[in-house]
Amino acid sequence: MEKLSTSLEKNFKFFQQRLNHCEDVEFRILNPYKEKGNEIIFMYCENIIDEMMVFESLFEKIIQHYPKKNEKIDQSILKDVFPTTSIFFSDDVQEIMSYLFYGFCIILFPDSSKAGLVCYSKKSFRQVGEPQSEVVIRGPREGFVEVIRTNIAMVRSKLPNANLKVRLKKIGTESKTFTAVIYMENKAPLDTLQKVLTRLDEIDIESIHESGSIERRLEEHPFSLFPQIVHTERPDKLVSDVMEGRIAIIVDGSPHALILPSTFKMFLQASEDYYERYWLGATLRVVRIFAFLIALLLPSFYIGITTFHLEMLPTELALAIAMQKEGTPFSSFFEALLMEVFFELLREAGIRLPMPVGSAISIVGGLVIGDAAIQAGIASPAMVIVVALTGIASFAIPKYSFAIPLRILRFGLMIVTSFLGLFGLMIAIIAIFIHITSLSSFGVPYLELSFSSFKEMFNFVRPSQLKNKIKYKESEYQ
Amino acid sequence: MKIAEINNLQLSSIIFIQITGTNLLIIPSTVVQIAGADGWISQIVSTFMAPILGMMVFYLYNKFPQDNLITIFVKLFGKIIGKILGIGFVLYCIFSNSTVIKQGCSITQSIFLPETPTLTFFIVFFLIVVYITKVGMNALARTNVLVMLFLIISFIVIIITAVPLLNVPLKPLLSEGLSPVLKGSLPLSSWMGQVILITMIFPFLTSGNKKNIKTTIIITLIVVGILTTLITIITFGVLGLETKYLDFPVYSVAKLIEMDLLWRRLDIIIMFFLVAGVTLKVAFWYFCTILAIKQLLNLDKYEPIVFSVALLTFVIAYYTSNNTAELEFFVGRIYPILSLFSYEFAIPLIMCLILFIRSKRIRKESKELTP
Amino acid sequence: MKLFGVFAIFTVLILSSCATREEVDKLSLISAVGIEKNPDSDYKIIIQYLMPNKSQEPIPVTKEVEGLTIYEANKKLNEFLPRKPYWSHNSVILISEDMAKDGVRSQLDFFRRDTEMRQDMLVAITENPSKILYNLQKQQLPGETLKLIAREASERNGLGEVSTIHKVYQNLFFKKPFLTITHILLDGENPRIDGVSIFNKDKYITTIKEDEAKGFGLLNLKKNYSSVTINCLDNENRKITFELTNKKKRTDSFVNNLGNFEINLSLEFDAKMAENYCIKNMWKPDTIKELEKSLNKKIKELATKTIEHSQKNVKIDYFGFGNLLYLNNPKEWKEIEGEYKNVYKNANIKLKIKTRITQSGAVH
Repeated sequence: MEKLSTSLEKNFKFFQQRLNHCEDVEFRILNPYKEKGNEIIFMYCENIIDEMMVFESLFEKIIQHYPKKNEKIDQSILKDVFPTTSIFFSDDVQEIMSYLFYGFCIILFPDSSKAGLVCYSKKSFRQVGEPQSEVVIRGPREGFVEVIRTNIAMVRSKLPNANLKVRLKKIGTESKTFTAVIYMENKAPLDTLQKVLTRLDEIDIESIHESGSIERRLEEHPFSLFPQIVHTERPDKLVSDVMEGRIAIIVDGSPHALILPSTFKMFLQASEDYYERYWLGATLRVVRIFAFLIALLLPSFYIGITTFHLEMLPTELALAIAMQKEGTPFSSFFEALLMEVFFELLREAGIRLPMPVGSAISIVGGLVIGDAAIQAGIASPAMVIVVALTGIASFAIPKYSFAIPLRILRFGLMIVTSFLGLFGLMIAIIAIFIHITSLSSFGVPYLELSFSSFKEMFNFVRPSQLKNKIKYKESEYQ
Repeated sequence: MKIAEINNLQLSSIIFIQITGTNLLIIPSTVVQIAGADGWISQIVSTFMAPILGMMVFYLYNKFPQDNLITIFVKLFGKIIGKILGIGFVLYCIFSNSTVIKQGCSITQSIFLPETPTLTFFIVFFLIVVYITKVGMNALARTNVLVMLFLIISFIVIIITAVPLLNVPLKPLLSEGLSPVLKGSLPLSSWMGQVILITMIFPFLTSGNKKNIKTTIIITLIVVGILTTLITIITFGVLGLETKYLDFPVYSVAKLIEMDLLWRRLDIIIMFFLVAGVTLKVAFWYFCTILAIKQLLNLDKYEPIVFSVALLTFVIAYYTSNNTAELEFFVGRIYPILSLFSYEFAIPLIMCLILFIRSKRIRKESKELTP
Repeated sequence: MKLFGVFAIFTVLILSSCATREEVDKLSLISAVGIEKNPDSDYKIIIQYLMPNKSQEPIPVTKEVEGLTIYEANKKLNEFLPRKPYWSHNSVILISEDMAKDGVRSQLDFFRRDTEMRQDMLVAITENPSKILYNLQKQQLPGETLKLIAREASERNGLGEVSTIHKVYQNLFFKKPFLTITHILLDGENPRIDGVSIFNKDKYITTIKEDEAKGFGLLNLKKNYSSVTINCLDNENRKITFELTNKKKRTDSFVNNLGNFEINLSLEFDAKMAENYCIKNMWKPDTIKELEKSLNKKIKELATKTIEHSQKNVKIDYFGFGNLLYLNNPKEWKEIEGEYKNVYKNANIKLKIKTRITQSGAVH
């Protein structure tokens, strides 16, 4: 660990050398009496600091309180200037450097190995606004922003309680990103907390720009298709989960906070479920389960029925499907594949494009191309309905990250069904369920059916405390 | 090192799927073949038999909550006889499992894909079973609960929707006397007796409360008994004496269900869940085989033997029988006697008797000592 | 290991090689089938299948094939059909009368055995299936239409039960089988349900029509919608019609001391006045009682006619009295089982009928 030396000149030279080509860093030398050895040096990063404040309060006040000629200046002057403001001293070069870039003004004194640090940070950032990825009709309209301090403030203001602990960590060997671990001391299970903290420490990464990059490193099954950590933009959701005893992680620069441990049903919940009337919440959960099943199974089920088990349909419907299918050159499977790929393309294009163009794409895709595909005899109308319904169902899932495995698995299921029919589909579903139930998130089973979980699922009771849900320690299972 | 933790609901679902997985489909056929119109009485008799088997299993659990069947054998009969019995149990498991696999494959083939080669089904079941075993007992137990839910729902749907079709009265009562009824209850009891398999998972039960486990086992067995009785009554009431000529009578009943709203035929959906039941049943049998072998050979891990033993089981299953007639004869007539007089009833009974006498003797001794 | 898994999955997929897979547009959905006797080979089957068409409604196409068995004939279909015949949507099996005389069970076996086959197909007896099928060609869904006609005839006109293949098998597997099958007649150009064919075991005997069929419906149907017309009390020429709604049926069958087969039948009906040509007001307690009496008489007349027909003319128990005896008194059944035909001929059938006129409609 590098330390400052006692010589101001050396220190100044050192910093100048270290910050060579960092042209946003300003050095100011204050030496009112032009005495050698009696000057102080200010150092700050001009773009992230409130320069007006620096000039008005810091410089002017220091000049006012500057000792008389021939008197040595030392650190105590800061105490006089700022009797109340928090200032602190450090001699660690690394620390000083990082604070410099967090928006602190660094003051170097002569003949002292300690530098004073005063915060004048002013970063211009996005305003607190409505969360983009989790829109609700009823509920708070504020969402997290990219600044960790604002985010923590939002959480703290909802839970002004000493039991709410916020532990700061710096993650990333180069970026040193602030990461806050938030939990209720009297609710969060100690083991889980310890595990989260050690896993965070073990993360070996150069820089973090989004909580998603540590999410993967915290999960126990990083190669599973299913996400095992919920992320949210909503402070109210975070607080309610923390109150259950879960642990939240907020990363500086990301509006998405991580909540862990997470289970299967949390991905099908929206915070509205608890704000609206009971029956709405309970019904919507059922609707979402159906959405989950439709998004996963509908195309393969359609393929299975129309190519293997046509006897299931009423004669009229079977005939209608046969009439539509008449003259289309492809098999049902290939038709479905084509339309699904087409739909995925549309969705991807719609997300990436700017808003006005995005809606144009969806109109062109949905209306023009869908209709044209039917007219041209590439796809049958029933297939277009099935694909559209699947798409809508996948949008009904509250968490975007949870719709991704469904989108991928859908293709696998379609292939299996086209070869082995509904038998293959069932086997594939069992394999998927075996996989889901084998997952666990920090000792909590990802999906486990019991009477209490049914009650929670259908909103009869508030979710129980996490402590009761931890089933086992992962280490016991090899 | 623990392999799994199983709570009461999961235990009950394991017992449920263990017994009903494949059998529920063919039970009416076998019973009506033997007992005619009195099949449902056989069912009730075996429903009363089942708690006795359950009590024996619980008695073993009460004495050895941390052991599985293999270690119980060794503790009770000494090392040599215990190990021999253990090897016998492994063979019994492999053998029973292979008939279950054969049954499952023939059911799914004839219902889902009649023109696809049989080998395909064996490979598919083989892959999924190996996968389930590798993933572990926990996932199997949790999926069991889900599948039990769907199975119960689908069978209740069959029962309710088939009520308007009932036309054949369950008469005459006991026209041939009691003996066919008792004979008919034999295969049912042997299927109920498969509850002995849960002796392999005693160490994983987490409930801690022994009374709860007792009630779980017995209530599950009674529920299974009631469900099978209802299914037999419904099947006979709809199909009459033709039941005995049908391979899968419950499937034939399901075929008759019409729901004009959505599907014409509900049978495929119901069979859909049946495939899940078969898969999980085979997987559980197989898991027990593997655990028994692991215990016999004192292995640290069971993973390395999963593949080879599965291959053996499936090859045996492939050559078990040539057609459903042979299979049905074996499952309905030979297997019950074979299994009841070995690991399902006779050996547990001997074990329980030994334990009972021992404990009495100990109590006597302690009584003699205390005054 | 994982590599092996992936390899194995692909092997399975290729092995299965979509053997059972059939695209919808590669199938011809069979809607109705007729079975006739052929002097050359054993069976002639007339098959009506639907040709889906993109632009217009499907047109039924009728073809005739011959074969030793029905399955053989079915296989022969492939010789001139561009698509695979698909049987699951078949809804009618028409069996010709000569064919049915040899026993219907052998002809229905194929439809019962095949796992894909629906079990709610209508089985019907007719003189000439091919004529009916050719006449039905104008209908969009010929099989479905015929099935609906049969259902309406049974539900609204009380002409015996709809004989689906499941019902046929249910009746065939009773200890003493009693089989009745819907009979269809080609009336001009339109198929019409005109009666109930009766069977000895599974062999066709004859068809009962009109009054006898009505009587059969009154005796055998579970839900009854048939109507009965009687004369007015005061005037012989004027008529009054009742619709029968609810029915309670109690049957007692036993062998009495003399060794005679005895059957006590008691039927209770609810009746609703449907049409009334009488001049006098009938809706008075006294007259209603009178009406009930004459209604009872009329119903008894109809039923006795059918019973007499079964006892005297054909000498076949097509009501299932024998089966009832077996169900309730299996020992007594064993005694008379061998000579049941004679026993039934001389059986003493006592009818007890009770009606209650409960509704008169909007006017009285």
